[in-house]
Amino acid sequence: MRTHLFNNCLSSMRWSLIALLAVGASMAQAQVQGITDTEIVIGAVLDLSGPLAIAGGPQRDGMIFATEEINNAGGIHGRKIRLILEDSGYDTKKGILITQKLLSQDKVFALVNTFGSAIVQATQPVAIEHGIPFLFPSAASNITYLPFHPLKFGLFATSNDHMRVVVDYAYGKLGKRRFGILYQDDETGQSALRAAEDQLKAHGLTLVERTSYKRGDTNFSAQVSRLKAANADIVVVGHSIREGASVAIETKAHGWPVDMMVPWGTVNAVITLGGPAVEGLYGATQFAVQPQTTAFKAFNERFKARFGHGGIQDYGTYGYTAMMLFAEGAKNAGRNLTPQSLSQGLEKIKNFKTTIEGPLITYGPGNHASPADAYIMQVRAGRWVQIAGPIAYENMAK
Amino acid sequence: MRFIFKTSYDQDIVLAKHGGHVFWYSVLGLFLLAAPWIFGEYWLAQLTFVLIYSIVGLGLMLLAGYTGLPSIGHGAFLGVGAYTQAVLSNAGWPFPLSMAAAALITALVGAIVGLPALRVRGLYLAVATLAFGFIVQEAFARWESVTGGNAGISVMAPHIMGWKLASPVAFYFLCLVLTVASTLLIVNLLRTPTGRAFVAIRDSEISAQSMGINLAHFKTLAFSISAALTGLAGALYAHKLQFISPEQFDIVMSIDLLLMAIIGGLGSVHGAFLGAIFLISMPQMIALAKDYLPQALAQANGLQAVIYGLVVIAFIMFEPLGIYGRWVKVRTYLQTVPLYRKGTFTRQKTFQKSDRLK
Amino acid sequence: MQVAQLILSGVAQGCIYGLVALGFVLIYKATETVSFAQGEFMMLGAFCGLALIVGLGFPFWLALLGSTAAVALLGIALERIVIRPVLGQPVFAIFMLTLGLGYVLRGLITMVPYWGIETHALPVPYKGQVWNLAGLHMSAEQGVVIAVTAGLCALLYVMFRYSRIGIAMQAASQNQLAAYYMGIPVKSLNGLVWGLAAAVAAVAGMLLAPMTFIHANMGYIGLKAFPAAIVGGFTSLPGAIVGGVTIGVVESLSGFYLPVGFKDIAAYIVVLIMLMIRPNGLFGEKLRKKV
Repeated sequence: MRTHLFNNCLSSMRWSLIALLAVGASMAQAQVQGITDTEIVIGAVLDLSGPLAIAGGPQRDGMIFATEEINNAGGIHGRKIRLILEDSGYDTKKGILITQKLLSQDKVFALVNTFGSAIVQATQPVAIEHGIPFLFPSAASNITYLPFHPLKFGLFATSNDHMRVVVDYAYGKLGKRRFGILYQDDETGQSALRAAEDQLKAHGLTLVERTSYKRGDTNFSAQVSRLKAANADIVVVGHSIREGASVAIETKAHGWPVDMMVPWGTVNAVITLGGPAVEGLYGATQFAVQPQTTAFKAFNERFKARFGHGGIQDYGTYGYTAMMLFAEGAKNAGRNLTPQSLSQGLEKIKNFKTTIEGPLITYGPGNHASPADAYIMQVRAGRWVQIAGPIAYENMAK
Repeated sequence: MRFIFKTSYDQDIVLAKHGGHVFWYSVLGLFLLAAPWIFGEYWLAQLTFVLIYSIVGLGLMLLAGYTGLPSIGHGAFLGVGAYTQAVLSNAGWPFPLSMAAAALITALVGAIVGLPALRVRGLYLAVATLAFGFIVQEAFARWESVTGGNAGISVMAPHIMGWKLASPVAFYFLCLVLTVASTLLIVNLLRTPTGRAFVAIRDSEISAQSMGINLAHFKTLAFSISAALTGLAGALYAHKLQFISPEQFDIVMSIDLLLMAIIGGLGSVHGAFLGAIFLISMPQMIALAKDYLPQALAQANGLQAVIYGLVVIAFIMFEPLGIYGRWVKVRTYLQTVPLYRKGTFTRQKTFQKSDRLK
Repeated sequence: MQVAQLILSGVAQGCIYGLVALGFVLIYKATETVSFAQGEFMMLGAFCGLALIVGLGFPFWLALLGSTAAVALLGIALERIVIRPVLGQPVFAIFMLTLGLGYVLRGLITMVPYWGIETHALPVPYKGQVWNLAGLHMSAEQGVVIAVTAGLCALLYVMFRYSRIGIAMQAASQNQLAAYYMGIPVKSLNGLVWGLAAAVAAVAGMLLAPMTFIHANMGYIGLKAFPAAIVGGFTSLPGAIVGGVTIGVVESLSGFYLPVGFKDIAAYIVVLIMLMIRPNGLFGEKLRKKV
């Protein structure tokens, strides 16, 4: 009797042990936040309503388009991507709160494309501490990949790199010697300023004038007056889109047809806003704006059909590439997807390119840096036209 | 209906006037103490924010609600406290000292900001505080050697002699202790002659002066105390966000704080807490409500701003005493039913009182 | 020479501040409320004009009239629905109410899909022209701003001085009770004043649009208009313009001669100094009460 009971006990213990192991095994995968058997949850903190919504909107479209493309092709190893997009309004406090929500409430697997240096600076440590990959933030600063950490990957060209390219191009190809800079009075703008000064120092020059403006400022006449009084022969605007167009108009209003360069934001909005005043404006971009391959044309038609609005543009290409990169890394990681396996999967990426013409992206163990190529563009006859590139940042004197 | 029979002199002095007070506040206290074990990490973080904003609310309530001095630049005080704490804490000061320093320095700044208050009133004072808010924010950005300028500062967890309050639970309790202390401070302050002087100044400055209240002294005091509390909250805020930059303390923050005070109920201590709860929970509720709205409306970017604005307008039009005012009405109804008189809270229709001469 | 150029651009920018400040002062004189929503009316005027020009193909001057009328009607409607019920309350509460109103208007614009969150340029017939006056460069946009501001001021002066409605408005703002006794429909006049202030803001918006583009956050310029109104004296209409121009010129000069950062706080430093020396502003009236 007692042995019978004991045997029963043992057998039930055995079964519960097996059950426990099975649960444990599935929990080992289920315990990875944001991954279930059928989906991967990704979070993105964009600026959809604030001063840089002009970039955030296209980025959102690009990311959604890529996600739909991936999911329609069957997902990644049988898992569909669920993309949660949140709007920070470019407000640091809101960005921090939203990131906290994505991490602890929505329980995302990874944060892709957080927009804005200030928000990135504030939320990156928090995400890393939680063991959440912080991928491809839209921040023109090298904190996207430095100091090195397996869960940090950069994609956005840093202000250093783009600024160096435009300064060097202006020096070398345009023969400019008197550089004036108008930079945005925040961290992004200030690091752009430092990059310009460094690059000029390598050629033995200094800036003839530096002026600043507050983000959201719309009146640049005092700054342009200063630059004109200093007799600059090229004005570099350390941030762009709206400001680039405004400054171009302002220089014409002062009767001063000086050359101008903008290291980012070679988007059509600049042309629409600036009108004839931005004719001849130089710019630099990571992704070529008007590639002409047939594959891209078909891609653009599908994009237009989905979102209307004239097709994919500068920031849209970024959002699209970011999601496709993530998918590639996750594919390389295999079915057992964890932050570590994703990191290794991303490191296996070599010479990656999407339908959109752009830099070939290569990562490796110890190298999570943003790709190092830029194209020089110029506004000709009311359109952005590629006139040089790709120029590799490595060739710049550092 | 409740009638309070006074049987001892102590009853005039104690804060909790009757058994009901004691009971409900004890329940609240127990709930707050047990919160880390009831809530998950995310909601505990929100509760911590509520506590931090409540301290700011108390400061603002003292200034705008009880002394009648409008302040549209309170975000600057928050920033001063946050930056002081960030700099001192990163320099290695133990947190009780650095927080005290933050409160003191902000109080000094508050006294300076209060200087215009001695000469101007009402709208002009509001614009003066607005101007100060902008100037202080610009100072944060320019004074790079101390504040790191626009790049901002990362803030470590509060520490004392090597012991760090790194866990959210420990930090929550720190905030709770400070909130309770601030509340007791304000509630007791209002019962002293100083507090009564503040209220006198709000109601009529000319009368207060003729009663012998030194306007300059008490106005400066009001600004200082209010700023000190806000600075203390700023110190906590810096630790909570772990990263501060000048743009976080701009006019938008100041307006948020004002909205919090008004919606909570200007002129009541409870209002600070209710306003803080409103401020923190509003975005959450909007996010939840988004699921029930038609797609086009929910995706829209401006939804939060519209709802915020509508709530403010609704409150001022229909319930100028704020959430606390509404609660008082509900409570009175519940306490006096079925003898509740319908006209108890009818607002008198007033003609415009000229604010130019008070 | 440089100084003259800077002063010129300062005057043009200052006229915009002045126009918005004019709206503030109008509303304050009539109803003693401060409207924080003027900046948003300006933004709405600009968007309205854009819609009329781009959407309906109106010529610029017609669109200007159209958007002014539309925003004026909106101002009257808002006054009737939102402001009139709360008139007895403390100034602070009404101030917050108009703040909420500003939030709602801004939010509603950004809710318009695609269009609301983008930045737009306003096609104006004089775009891009630059005039050369005795060595000074003045862009056509600046010239139009100054001209229209001057014209508007003259118009308002004539209206307040000689028309019945203008005199009635002045009466209502000086002593409301007496105005009631005299049979002046004070409440409708308040609505009209709001409409007028909104119209002035709309004009300012359309004048500003070629210089700064049209976007939902345009209204933040309203924050600089507060100091402008105070400097001029919150109870004086010409003072609002003078205050605005003063602030504009100070900003322009400090942007050139002073180090980084002073340009943005120049307006606020000026207002603080003014509050210290002359709290009632340059043209404000000092009120005394005999006890």
